[in-house]
Amino acid sequence: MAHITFVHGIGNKPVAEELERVWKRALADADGIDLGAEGVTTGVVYWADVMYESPSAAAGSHESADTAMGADEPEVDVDLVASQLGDEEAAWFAGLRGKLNFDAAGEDDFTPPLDDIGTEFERIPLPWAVKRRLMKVMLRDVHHYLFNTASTPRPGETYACQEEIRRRFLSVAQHGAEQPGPHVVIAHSMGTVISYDCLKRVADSPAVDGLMTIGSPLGLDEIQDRLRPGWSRDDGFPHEKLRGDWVNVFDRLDPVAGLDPAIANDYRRAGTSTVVDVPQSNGGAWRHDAGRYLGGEGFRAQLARLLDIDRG
Amino acid sequence: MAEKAAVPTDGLDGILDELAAAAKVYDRPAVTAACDRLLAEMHDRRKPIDEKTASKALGLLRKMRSFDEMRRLGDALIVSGQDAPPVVRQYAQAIIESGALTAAEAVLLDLAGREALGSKEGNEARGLLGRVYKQMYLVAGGPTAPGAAKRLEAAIGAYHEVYAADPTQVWHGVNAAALLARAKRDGVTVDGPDRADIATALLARIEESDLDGSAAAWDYATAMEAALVLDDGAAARKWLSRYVDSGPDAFALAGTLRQLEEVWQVTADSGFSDLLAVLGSHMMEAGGGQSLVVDHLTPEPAALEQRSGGLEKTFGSAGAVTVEWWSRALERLRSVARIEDQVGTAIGTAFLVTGSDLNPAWGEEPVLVTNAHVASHPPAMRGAVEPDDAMANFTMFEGQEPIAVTELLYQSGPAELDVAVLRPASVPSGVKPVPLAKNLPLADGEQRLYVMGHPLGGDLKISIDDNVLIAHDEVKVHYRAPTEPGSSGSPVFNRNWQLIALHHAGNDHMERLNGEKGTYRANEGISFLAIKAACSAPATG
Repeated sequence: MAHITFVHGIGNKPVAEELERVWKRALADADGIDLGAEGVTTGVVYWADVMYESPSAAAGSHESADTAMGADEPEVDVDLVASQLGDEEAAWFAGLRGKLNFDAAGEDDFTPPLDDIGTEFERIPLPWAVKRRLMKVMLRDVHHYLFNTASTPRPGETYACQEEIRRRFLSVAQHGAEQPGPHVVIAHSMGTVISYDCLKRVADSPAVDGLMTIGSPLGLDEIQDRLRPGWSRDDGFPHEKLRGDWVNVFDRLDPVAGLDPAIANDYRRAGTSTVVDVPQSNGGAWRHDAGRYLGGEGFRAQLARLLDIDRG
Repeated sequence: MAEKAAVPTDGLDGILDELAAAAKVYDRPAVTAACDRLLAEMHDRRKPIDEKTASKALGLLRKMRSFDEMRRLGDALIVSGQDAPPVVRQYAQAIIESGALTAAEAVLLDLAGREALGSKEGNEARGLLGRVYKQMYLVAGGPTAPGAAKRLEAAIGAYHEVYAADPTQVWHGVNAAALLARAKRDGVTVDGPDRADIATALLARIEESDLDGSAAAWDYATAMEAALVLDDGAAARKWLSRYVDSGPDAFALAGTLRQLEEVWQVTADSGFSDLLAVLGSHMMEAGGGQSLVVDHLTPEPAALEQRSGGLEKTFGSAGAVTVEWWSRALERLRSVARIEDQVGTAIGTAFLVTGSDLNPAWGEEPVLVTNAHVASHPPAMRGAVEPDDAMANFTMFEGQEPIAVTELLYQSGPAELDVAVLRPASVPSGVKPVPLAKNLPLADGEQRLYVMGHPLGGDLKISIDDNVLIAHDEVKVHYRAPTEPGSSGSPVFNRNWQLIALHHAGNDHMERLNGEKGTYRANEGISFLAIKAACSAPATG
């Protein structure tokens, strides 16, 4: 029997059991892959409580834009974060902030040029204000992880973000490695940065049989730069701990992954592109939603292949 | 009316908890035991129990469709002096469900005389009277039966009286309109209001409540019927999607299904058969209470795909059920046969798998799988048929003659794997063998299984009765028991319609698996992974 380890992305989340249930249901809905029926066990690397005081409310059948961004949380004050950084960090922070581009005066219903996005994609209806809010969460969470920033989500409880989240990944992944059958990691959003960092750069990480990244920001130069030593364009593939395929599913209109969606060229194995980049149209307003990625045929077909599941 | 001197509920709470726990898992023997205790308690007290407790007990029984117990308890309550309107009304519902329509009419006429039009129970009583007259019309055989027009008129009158007095009573309104439409189809002249006026007003009201968020599940079913009154198939499909998305329970879904079949005369061959498929598939998701008789629910998959063009792909926007999922269920049904002897006596169920899926030497042709206690040589148990005498009757294929068995390929006795693999002389054209699951589902208490077969040798049914996987080991699979016994030889599927087990037994005292002590009430199937391993192992002579 196979085992899946889920790694969630940016923003606050419901409690781990609820989050796992929501992801599994999103994967099973509409004639999808019912992991329980297939005998596939699961675990989740839960780290939202490292950043947030308390879990968000239950998310329903899918994560929504609101839950992904922690609508019940105050908007991230990026200026305040920036003011507390040293020079090197501040420069990095400003660089990624510029890339995320949320300070620009965006149109509420901006539509990327057709040539950029291909004709199969719908126009993007995500309001700019919502997108800006998301990008601020993204900037803060990624920074805190990559720079191992201290976080005090609750009085008297302080974590070094990267150390703590790495510890959790290793623990859950180790449990997965001990299960019979192939072990596949499915990571969303910042969960892809965590998974890559652990598989490529943490010697104690257990090996896995497959990696699926969805809605990943790993294509951004600023993030790649912070994954050195370990990452290089020619040898970025985490072959040390990844025995099988790396499949990267993206929606070009996902505000996170869409900045630099295809990553095969950035994470080569001995100079050869081996990551399987899979474009997918998630539909709807919130293209970064994990539930929409899990509900897409592009993703499901690849997961079925990795788990050796017959879907007919 | 003033409540009679009632005894406190303290001593009854335990019995009600017991009843609720039994009803939750559709454990009928436990429900009967709880009812016995309740009746004994009532007898000992020599005073009526309070209305709230009585109604709660009846409601639990209704939820799991235990109408015999409901009637028994209702009768005892009324005799004991607890004849509050909700108790009498629920008793009348139980009588209707058991088919005693004349008795129900008498009880309801009395109740309607006591409770004024416009009061909750007065409206309910009149609505149920409408249902009684409607059933009388349908049971008697429709328009040509003596007194048919009178009954239909009485039904319409009972429903419409309530709706005319209070247009918010949409359930009464739509029943009046649906029966007016039926009267027209049957050529019965009925003096009554205009059905299109009623339907149009109902739709306007429900659209409004949908917009302000106050619409309930039943409103959407009402809107679907109103659209049918107006002959608007697209709108009917839209409202049906809304209905199934709103999470009706199995009881409500069964009521809607019955209304479509009985009043609207929708059949597998009619233009709205996809509506039946939607309801059927959602009943399978909701589970509980009954088995689905599939003969009249199952158009050809291709026809269903064609007809369901007006439906969303997912049979409702938020559900997990899709047209493809339902079509796959239909495909599996077509591979199920009733095993009969030479004179047509039903012995059990069998199904087709690809021979090479079990043993490469058996080739790509389909083989039949059933229990050794259904067919074996020599007969493994009394009642089993010799393979030479066994016939496979594929009842989903109209006009298909039963097919003879030509060879016994493998068998393992009832105390072992209880399986027989048979080679049929032929198979119906176009039938597809069922695919085998590569793994057993997780025994996490959330996995629902589906059992297809001919319980007691009768109609082909899909058991949707809370078949949750309880446990499994290398050989056995345990799941909660369906209501109807006698499904020997049935295939057991996971939610993806892949074969996981061969059903072979069920009882109230099944030994637990994996070294756990004690027994429980469960069904038992043999893991198909174990059957496959045994079939593919070299013969030991």
